[in-house]
Amino acid sequence: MKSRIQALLVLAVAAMLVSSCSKISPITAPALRSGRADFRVVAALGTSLSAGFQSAGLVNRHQTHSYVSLFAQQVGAHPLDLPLIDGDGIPPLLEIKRLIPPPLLIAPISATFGSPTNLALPTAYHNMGIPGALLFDVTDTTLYTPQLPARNNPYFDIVQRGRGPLAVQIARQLDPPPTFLLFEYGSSELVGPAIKGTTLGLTTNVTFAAQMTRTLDILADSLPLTKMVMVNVPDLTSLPFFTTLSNRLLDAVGRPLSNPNGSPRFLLGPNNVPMTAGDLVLLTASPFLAGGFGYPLGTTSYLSGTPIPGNGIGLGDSLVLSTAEALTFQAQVRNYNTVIDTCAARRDIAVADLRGLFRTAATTGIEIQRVLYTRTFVTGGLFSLDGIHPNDLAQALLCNEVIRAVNAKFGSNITALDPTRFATLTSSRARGAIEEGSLPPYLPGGVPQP
Amino acid sequence: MRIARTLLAAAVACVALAPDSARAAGYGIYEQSAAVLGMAGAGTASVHDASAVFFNPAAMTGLEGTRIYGGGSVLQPSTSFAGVAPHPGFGVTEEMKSRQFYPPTAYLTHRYPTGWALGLGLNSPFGLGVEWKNPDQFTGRYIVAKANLRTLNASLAAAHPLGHNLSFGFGGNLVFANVDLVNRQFVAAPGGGGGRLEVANVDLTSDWTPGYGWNTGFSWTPWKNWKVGLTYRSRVILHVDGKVDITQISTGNPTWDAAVAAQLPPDQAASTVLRLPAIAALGVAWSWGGAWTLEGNAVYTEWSTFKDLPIYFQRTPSSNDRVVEEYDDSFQFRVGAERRGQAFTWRAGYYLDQAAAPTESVSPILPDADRQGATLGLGLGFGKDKRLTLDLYELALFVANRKTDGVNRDGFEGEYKSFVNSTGLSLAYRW
Repeated sequence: MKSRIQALLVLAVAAMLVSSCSKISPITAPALRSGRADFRVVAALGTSLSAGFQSAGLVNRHQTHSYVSLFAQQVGAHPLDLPLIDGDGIPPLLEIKRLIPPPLLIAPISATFGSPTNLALPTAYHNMGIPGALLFDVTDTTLYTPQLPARNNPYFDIVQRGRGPLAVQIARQLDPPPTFLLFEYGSSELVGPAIKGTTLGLTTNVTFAAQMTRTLDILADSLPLTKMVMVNVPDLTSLPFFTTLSNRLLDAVGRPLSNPNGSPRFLLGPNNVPMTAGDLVLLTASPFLAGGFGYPLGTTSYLSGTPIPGNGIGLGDSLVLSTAEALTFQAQVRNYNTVIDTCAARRDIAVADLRGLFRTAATTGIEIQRVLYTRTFVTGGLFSLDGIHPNDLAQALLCNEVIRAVNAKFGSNITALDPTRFATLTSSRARGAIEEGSLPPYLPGGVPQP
Repeated sequence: MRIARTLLAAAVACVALAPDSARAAGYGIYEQSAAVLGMAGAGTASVHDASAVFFNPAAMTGLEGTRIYGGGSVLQPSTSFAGVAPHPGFGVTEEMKSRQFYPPTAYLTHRYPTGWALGLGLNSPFGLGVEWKNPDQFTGRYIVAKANLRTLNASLAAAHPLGHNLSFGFGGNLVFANVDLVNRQFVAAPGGGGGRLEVANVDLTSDWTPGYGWNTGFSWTPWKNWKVGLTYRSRVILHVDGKVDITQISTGNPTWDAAVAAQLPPDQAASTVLRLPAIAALGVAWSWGGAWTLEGNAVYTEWSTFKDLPIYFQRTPSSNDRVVEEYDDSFQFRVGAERRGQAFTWRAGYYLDQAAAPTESVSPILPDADRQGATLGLGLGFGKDKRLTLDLYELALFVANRKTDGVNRDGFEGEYKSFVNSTGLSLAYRW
């Protein structure tokens, strides 16, 4: 009996010895390994996308959440000097005036323009993203506002400030000079004509290639040791600005109407000619459709929320991108991206795939932590209220694309962002998240609010 | 037989619910006999009690008379998680609730003078029990807050000798299963900023649903002191019906709450499909000097059958969901030793259990990982001819830390750490 008790004790002791196990310790972020790149001073040249332009305006709350700012924070770069704008932005950003019940109403927050708060900065800005800037503008001042008032672009005065070409400012007017450069051009060349419903003024791919080569050569000469990542050009015809409004007649609950023979009933387009399946109605046509334009006589527009008889007047050419025009833009996107890929490959430059990101949004949607985000205007959760520019969440997704490209190219180990940390309840954070009603944005437990 | 009825009733009353990490790889449970577990579950060839109904029905031909067996295990798991970027982020740690689980086992065998042997078994060969602490704050609650899979398997087996050194066994299995899945639903805020709103608690609860399978086994004694066992248990597919309760969580904004309420599916009947994989085991045992037995087992589990967990909503098919799993087949290698003495029997064993979940599927529902188990066992005999036996075992299951390597399907990245202590006993009687 004694030996049996001893045996039981042995088993009991064994059980106690193995029954305790400590829980896992928190994991700390690995030290940044920059690989072949140097992230001490990050600077950017680009367009509205780089500037953080959203909901048809530029304001500090979104400027500090552009992919440029997020990338610089993520790599621990020198704090960025930005051309910040306070108040409601320049121009005042759009906001949702009414969402529920329909119709959706979007209008500027106010009539009061914000003001630049950092105009007196004695150096260049680290982020030289300028809404509407063309690749040509990087090295040539010819088309800046003072020389060409018709361009009507206030952002050169705010960002470029008459201090010389953008490339020169980035290379010579930052102290310390940039060690890593984000470069994003090509979208303005396409968006400019497209939002006017025309291909007139479209920069040819030959010209674009020549400008790209010249610009990159100049930057390579002035910043020979600076590594670079380029952002490619998205298919703008997949953006909500071009895809939200149907080219068909809609009934009172928004369903497309058909003829008795089953064929679709299209809106009237330019010259009162019925549109075709591939024609795109621009978001700027919304008030016209609400007023009965595009609807044949005897039909009714319900877009305003109340029945409005169709006036039989087709939508103007500036409100429609025809099938042929849309195909032209799509071809040009491919051409521009070929130029970008070719130039990047020749110069040891990484390429972030913005086109792929937006294509995913437009096809399958982007699932983040079991929430599906799509390109759907407003409710899709990725685009701001102008239907073209990404919101803060999508800027964070773009930052992750940049990080992925940079890590792959230069052997760095920059950790990706949790994009949901940058999501907000409403698309336009012009007045700051803290004033977005009583609802704080959802943040996973344990994650500090940015 | 009164004892048998009592044990069976007790087993039904405490249907097994196994912790996620107590199981064999995936959601299998191999804790089906204290004696065999003392040898790390290496019993396909040498099993010599009524648990042969589970480990190898052909071995029933070697069990004289009538045998009854009842027992169970106490499983104490601990699982914790440390997050990395991008979600939930560095510095975040989570922990499962501390729980204990009691999978039961009961077996009865009888050998007839004709050589035929019959056996009945009641056990829980699969199970899952997950419940994370602080369900309102748990960073993975959009995936799972709580998940339970309970199974109860009733087996009827028969065996007959095929000559003096070979036996064949076969049987049928009636498996009842029940699942409970709870998570939180988030939606993109309608304002377009991409912000997420936690809008509902979703609770899928199933009825007890039967499924059917079969099993077979061979027991061969090629030479004196050597035994070889081979078994196969078929897969079981269960089409489980139940209901889903969706409880709206207020966002604090009445307008948005109204919009969310209009979009949330109503409470309704729902169903899912559970796949319990096939298992094949090959064991070789060698007895030495009448006191020692050594056995090695290779166990193959067809986890590739666990491709997904679909959830079908009866009234709103647009809400149907599919949790992708795409498991891989896996192997276990088990070795054990038994030394039979006058006063008691010592057992010890070790096993290596290969993870079945690909890295993409390692999630808070089932943080599967490679594991190594070390066991000690003790057998005590009582009464005339030691007809009553008490077997005990202690299992320390060391689960390898498992990282998601940035590829988790639900974007929940980090590292899981688990450990399980399991203690069990069984009482057996023969006459």
